[in-house]
Amino acid sequence: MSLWSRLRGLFGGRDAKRRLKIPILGVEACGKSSLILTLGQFVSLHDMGRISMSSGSLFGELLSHVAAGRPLPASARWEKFELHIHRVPEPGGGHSPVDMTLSSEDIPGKQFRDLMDELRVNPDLSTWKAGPTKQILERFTQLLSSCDGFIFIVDLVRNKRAEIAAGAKEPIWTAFADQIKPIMTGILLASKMNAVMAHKPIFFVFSKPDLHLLEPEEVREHFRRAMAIPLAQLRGELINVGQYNVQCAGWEMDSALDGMGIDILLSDLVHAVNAVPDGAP
Amino acid sequence: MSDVLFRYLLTARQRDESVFRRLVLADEPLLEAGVEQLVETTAVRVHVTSQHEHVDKRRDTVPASRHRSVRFFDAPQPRRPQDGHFEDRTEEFPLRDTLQIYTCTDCRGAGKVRCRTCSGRGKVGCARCGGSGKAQDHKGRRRRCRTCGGSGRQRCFSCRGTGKVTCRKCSGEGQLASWEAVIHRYATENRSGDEYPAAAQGARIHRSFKRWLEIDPDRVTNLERATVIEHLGFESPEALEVVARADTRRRGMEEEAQRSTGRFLFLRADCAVSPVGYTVVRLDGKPRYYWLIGRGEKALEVIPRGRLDPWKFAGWLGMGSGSAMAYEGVAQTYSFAQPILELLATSVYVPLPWLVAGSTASWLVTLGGLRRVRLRRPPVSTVGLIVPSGRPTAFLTCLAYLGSYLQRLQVLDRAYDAQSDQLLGRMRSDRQSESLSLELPDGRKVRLVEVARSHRLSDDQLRLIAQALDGVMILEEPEQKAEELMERITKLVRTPPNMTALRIDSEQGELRDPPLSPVGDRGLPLEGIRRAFVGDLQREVDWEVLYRQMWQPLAELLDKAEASRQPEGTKT
Repeated sequence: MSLWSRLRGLFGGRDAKRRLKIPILGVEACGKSSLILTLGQFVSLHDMGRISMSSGSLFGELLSHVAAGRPLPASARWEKFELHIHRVPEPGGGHSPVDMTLSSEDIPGKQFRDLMDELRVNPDLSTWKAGPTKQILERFTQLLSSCDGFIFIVDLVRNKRAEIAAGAKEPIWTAFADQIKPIMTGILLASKMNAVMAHKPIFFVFSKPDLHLLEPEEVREHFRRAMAIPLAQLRGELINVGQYNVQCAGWEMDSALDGMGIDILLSDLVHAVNAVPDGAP
Repeated sequence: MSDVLFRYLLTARQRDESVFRRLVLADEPLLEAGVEQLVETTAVRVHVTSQHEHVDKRRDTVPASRHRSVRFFDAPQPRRPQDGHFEDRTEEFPLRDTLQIYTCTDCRGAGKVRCRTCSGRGKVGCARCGGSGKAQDHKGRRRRCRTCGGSGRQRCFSCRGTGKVTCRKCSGEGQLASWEAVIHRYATENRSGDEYPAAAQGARIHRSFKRWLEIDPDRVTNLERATVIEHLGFESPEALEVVARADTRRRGMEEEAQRSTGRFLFLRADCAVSPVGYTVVRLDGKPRYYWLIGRGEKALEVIPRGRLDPWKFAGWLGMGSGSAMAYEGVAQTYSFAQPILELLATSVYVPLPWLVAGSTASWLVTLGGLRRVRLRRPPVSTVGLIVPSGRPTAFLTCLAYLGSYLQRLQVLDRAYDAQSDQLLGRMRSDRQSESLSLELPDGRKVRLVEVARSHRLSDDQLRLIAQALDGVMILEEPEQKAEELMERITKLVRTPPNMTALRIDSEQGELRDPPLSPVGDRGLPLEGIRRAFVGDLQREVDWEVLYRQMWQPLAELLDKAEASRQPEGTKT
């Protein structure tokens, strides 16, 4: 958050228009582009906002693949997109007025995977040597320190679909360990070096509920148990993990491309970054 | 591998008030050589900053009109830095009396000089035809040059045919202004030097690494004896000798600063004092120094120059790698060994925390001297969980996960892969010890060290381990009795640590229904807790009760340890 936006927030009140930068992270083929597309569709269909002009081409490209019945292609570059949102759904029903621009980036999962592999092997960032992975790390660090929160997408059924369907719990914990633990370690280390990380909400979104067939509460409980130690560490670093929301976003595309759980995710996201003005229902 | 570790890495801690952590290699020749004698002294870094004023004169010459934009002074009016404000700054004072306006010597007042390109002729040779008047057309035929019209000459591009250009010296004004300026330059000069004990001659004590400064950033503004002693926390003749030598050096630097070129304005002397401890070991009649710089957890060990035994050093690396291999798996070995290998490559120094980090059992060593260390922060309490003769238990893992899950504690160790593997039942069973660092909601920090197969430890090893601990909790299996081990420790140690026992049952893999209230005669079913925590989401388990049963004896031990640490008058 820039100094100007801080001053504007101080003197202009909380109803001033806000620009939120919330990157979406996750390994390749976990559903980042799907979430972006679904967010855009959800906001547009329910008259909650609109896609910015600059992001129109990205959404158009993604929609063309869905319309043709093709899977979304892997993201090859860092795609920026923006959503102008003027109201958000409330958990108890109704809507709250907001005036904000949700800015995010679709980051290639391959780069994220490379970064996590490196973090897993060598969690001490200070000892990293110059190279392509270091460059990605620097870019990620810059992104994380300049954003207002993060969305992490976790693919629970990555290569373990049959085992999870058979009721085994260990693959779920392994997915947490493989996909979340390295980046949590990275966040903890980054927070040691950069205090800007504090008080930022982190959202963990678990994709593909149609494949892992677990109830949201079950996923939430597994996550709380498997990640108990790093979650407590994040709380100790004043990173706002109390606001994270574990929801199955539900990428089961119906005709309207209206994802499940998007409303709750959007509502919690907006509330977590205090974008809802005072006095709103 | 851990047996090797215990054989070679043991703490030698005295029950004195030393501020230093002690690490020695406690093999027999070294012990016989008297390594337990630690000389407490100090290293002093002296830094003298001085402010000087340098006064120079300079003559400036500009076209006459420009002197109007210059502010002239009748006399220099320097604004010297205030005492203690070290500045690097330059001030200029053009003097009004010295201002002269005179005719330009180059153009003699005309403002124009002859063009050097055409030598005043106004024409130069044609660039296209080279002065021949004929040039090739697009078909290669030689025709009359269109640029110069066949004359071979063209107008000079510098003077545009006039033969004269504007005088550069006076910018065409014909007159120049000249004056003399007095320049006052304020420069900060730094002088620094380190003083070490006389025994450090020939030893490699590194001054450049930043951690040395970070260890003790407090500064003393002078080297008064009382201040130094208060700062160090101890008084030793050798330390005071070093301080006196540093004081002499400081005075020398101050005198040198005052004799420096330029007018001396003021100076400030800063001194950073860092406690240094060393122990001398005589092996085969040759002295060998082991140095410790700084205090507390960040104390560093410095390798003596030219006296480093490569086999011993390799042994340290092997111990570190081996212990990591034993406790955290082969995969972690390489990540652990990486910084040490890098350090070896740079061969500068071996920071003690790097040397022993990753080796869980070596916490016993590093913590050996911490109990009596005067730290400004609350001390870290260390509790040993000793399993008399059985295999390692899942106690630490269950405690870490349950405490974090219930938000009762925070695990400080970053590498929790071992805990995760243990929870998923993938831990190797041949390990002997494991440690876990915790932070409690009230800010206290606790380090728990589990030592299994304690029957393998010799009396010396067990004694030194017990001395390094603030409390001992014996994890008692149904067929084992804690009293036997307690008696052994009591016999070995003159002032034994507080001890308690907790009954556990590593065999029982299922929780009872209703679970664990009370523990029952079989003890705490750690395996059942682990399995229930991993997989059984449907079953209603009162995790609070389980956690309380695990934590309660530890909390009592910690309270006792804190009570014993308080001074006599403040005990409640």
